[in-house]
Amino acid sequence: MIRRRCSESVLLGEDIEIQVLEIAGNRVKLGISAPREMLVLRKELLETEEFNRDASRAVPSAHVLRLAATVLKPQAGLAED
Amino acid sequence: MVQTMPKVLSRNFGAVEFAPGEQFVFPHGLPGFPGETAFLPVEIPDQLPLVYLQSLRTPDLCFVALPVNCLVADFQLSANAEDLSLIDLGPDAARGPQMLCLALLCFGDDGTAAANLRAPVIVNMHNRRGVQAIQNEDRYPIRFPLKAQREV
Repeated sequence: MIRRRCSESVLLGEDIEIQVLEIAGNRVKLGISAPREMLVLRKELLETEEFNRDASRAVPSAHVLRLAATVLKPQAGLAED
Repeated sequence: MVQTMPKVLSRNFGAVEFAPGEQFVFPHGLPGFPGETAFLPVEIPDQLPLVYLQSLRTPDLCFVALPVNCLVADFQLSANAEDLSLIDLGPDAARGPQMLCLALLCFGDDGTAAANLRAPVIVNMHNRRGVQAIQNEDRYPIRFPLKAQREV
């Protein structure tokens, strides 16, 4: 664990710098300097991509029907007011 | 002259006709599927409130989704301004009839299901443009187990 204040940085290897740009409440703005070929992603984007890939797999209709019948309460769908 | 309706091929539903403009358009696709920019919402009466999102490009790609308010009655959406702007909504747009907010579902091999409440699919129903909005707030999980809803 490394403690940093605003404007201070952390170096990862020789090419990557992560700087604390701003702290407001429980949010921190980070500046990341890295080689162009280095992929920088928010973790939740990666997790959402993984979720979407899981969600894109064919689902046995029995699973969906069971969900509709046992877990969900009947409600209106997409009808607009 | 007889006007033919556009059709989409679906692994789930076969050939489905739909009205022009009925599809949802995702200008940036969905995370993990950047080339998938158009989905047809399909509802099956006895499976409501489930909504299928059938890709217009890929017959094998069909997501199952659920309006978030079926899972969390007072769901608090905190989409970032860029995502809202992409679908022509202002930063203060309140969720209302003009905004559809769906959670995509994924199923385990045993049939258990989870909903992505962290990154709901939001659609501006006025122009049918959509985006999967990854919320900065971590109020809701990416994998919300559906059977837990009765305990919420």
